[in-house]
Formats: sequence, C-alpha cells, structure tokens
Amino acid sequence: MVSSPLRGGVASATGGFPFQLSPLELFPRPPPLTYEVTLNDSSHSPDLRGWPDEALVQVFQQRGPHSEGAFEVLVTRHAPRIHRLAASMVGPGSADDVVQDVFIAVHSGLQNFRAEAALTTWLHRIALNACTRALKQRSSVPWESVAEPAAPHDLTLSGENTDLRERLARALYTLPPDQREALALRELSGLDYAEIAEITGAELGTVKSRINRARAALRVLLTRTGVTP
Amino acid sequence: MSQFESEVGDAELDALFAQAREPNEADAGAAERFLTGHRVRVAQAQTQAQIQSRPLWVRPRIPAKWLAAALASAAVIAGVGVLRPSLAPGDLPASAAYAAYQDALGEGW
Repeated sequence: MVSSPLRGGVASATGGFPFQLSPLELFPRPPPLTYEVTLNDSSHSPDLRGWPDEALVQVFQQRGPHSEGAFEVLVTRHAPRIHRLAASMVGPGSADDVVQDVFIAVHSGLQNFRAEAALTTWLHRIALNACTRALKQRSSVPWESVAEPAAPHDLTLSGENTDLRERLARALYTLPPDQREALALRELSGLDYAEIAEITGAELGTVKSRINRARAALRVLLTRTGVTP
Repeated sequence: MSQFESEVGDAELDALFAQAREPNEADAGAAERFLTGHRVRVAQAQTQAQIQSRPLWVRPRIPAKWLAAALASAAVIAGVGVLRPSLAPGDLPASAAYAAYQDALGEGW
C-alpha cells in the first residue's frame, strides 16, 4: 500500500478488506515521492525548497497552510529564468512587468493546472503570451524612437549584460513572432526542440526551420548594427 | 576592417546568446521583487475575506466619510424641525371668508 502524506492517509482508511479496494489501489501507480512532513500540520513549517515542482503544485492545490509557501518556492525557482527570457525579448526595462504578469497568472491558474505537461512548459507558454502583450503595448512607442547607446561597442566584454539584452530585444523585435518565440526558447531559455514544439504547438521540423531562419536574419541584422563579439 | 564591419557568424551569435543568458543581479532579484508585492496582495485578500465572513452588523461596510455625511444631514433635518416657527392661530392671515364661515358655523367648522 502506498502511503504518502500527500494523500492525507486516505489509503489506510480502507482497512484490510481486499474486495473493497478500488482499481487504483489494486493497481497502484509507483510511489512518486515520499515526504516526511505531514502537510496538514500547521504547527510545523516544512522546508519546501528541495521539493520538485510536481509536489509543490500538489501542496498549492491542497490550499493548506503551506500553500503560499509552495507558491513562493516555485516563484523563487523560476522567476530568474522568466526574467532572463523577458529581458531579452521585451528589454530589461519591461522584464519585471512580464514576471509580474506571469506569476499573477500562475497564482490564479495553478489551482486548475493538470500535470499533463511539465510546469516549465506551461510557464514558458504564459511567459511568451505576456511578452507578446508587452510588445503590443510597446508598439505605440516604437523602439526606434528610443535613443541608442552612443556607439556600437563590444558588448560581450562588458561586465553587465543588460545593454546586450536591450540590443538583442531590439533585434528580436524585427523578427516574425513565430521565429522570435522559437529562437528565444532555444537560445535564451535553453529548451530542446521537442519542448519548443510542445510550447508553440508547431511540428518539430517547423521549429527547426524557424530557428534557422531566425538565426540567419539575426546575423544579418547584428552585422548591420555593429553588434559583434 | 573594423570590428563593426565584420560579419556575425554562428559562433559569434552563439557567444552573444551565451552572454545574454548569463544570470545577472536583476534576474536573481526578480523573485523577491515580485513576492514583495504578492505578499501585500495576499494579505489584502485575506483581510477582505475575513471581513466578508463576519456578521453583517460587524462589517465595516459603510465608509467613515459616508457615515459622517449621513450624521450631518440628520442633524440639519432635526435642527430645522425643532427650530421651525410653529403656526399659531393668531399668525394666520386675516380672511373675510374665514370670518364668515366662523360666524355661520361656529368654532372649528
């Protein structure tokens, strides 16, 4: 019998009558994880930082005393990468707005999240949508009207990469949205082609093609604007 | 050829992306910046939920300014009611028709 604190000890309530067992109990799934902390014990605060995403989502969905703690661990774990992606897609100045949009959406939608896909896949889809909204809002104030740095310089040698991300965001903005999304997920978030295909809903070959075309266009653009390593 | 005229190749592009991926302080602080505001929002939501769970007569549903305005209006109405000059029979204007009815039908016609 699988006994997991996440199930609140329900399995032990069935007693020792095999004919009363449900199909799930007759053919139990392999135990995903075991935890030593009882989740409905409000007098004890477990350290959730080492828990995997799936377990944290379950804790959040139980609406128990550690629900917000689980959400905060998820934010702490994933916000840096969402910020990094956003800074290179919409510019460092708007990245915090995107992070806020993403995690407000996560907080309100996590209750209904089903673990059919990885949490990171869902997060990246939300992040891309938030970036698209931010870019649409920005379209009223064209990027071209924002002053460029005084002169092109070797950005990769600078200690801070904020300037580089700003330039990269300007360059990515010129690409078609589907190419921009695929390239960003690949080169900035480090996802593999299959994950990108799942997030964007495109075929694997289409994803590769979009990335190749985006890279070619970006090379030309960066050469023209003088951004070289 | 200056560096600005050199063509960006695949290796250079990869180097640029690698540099953009490097975590910086803004990335590291993103979670805490969000959580600071999030905790405030959660606390406000919990306060609202507690207020909603109270009995109706305990809920501070009426803002103080509206309560003050209502009390002031009530005071004005009461003052007007108390201080309004009463209409005594002697204050009525003289009327020939009234006198004729009074004579014919008596007091209280």
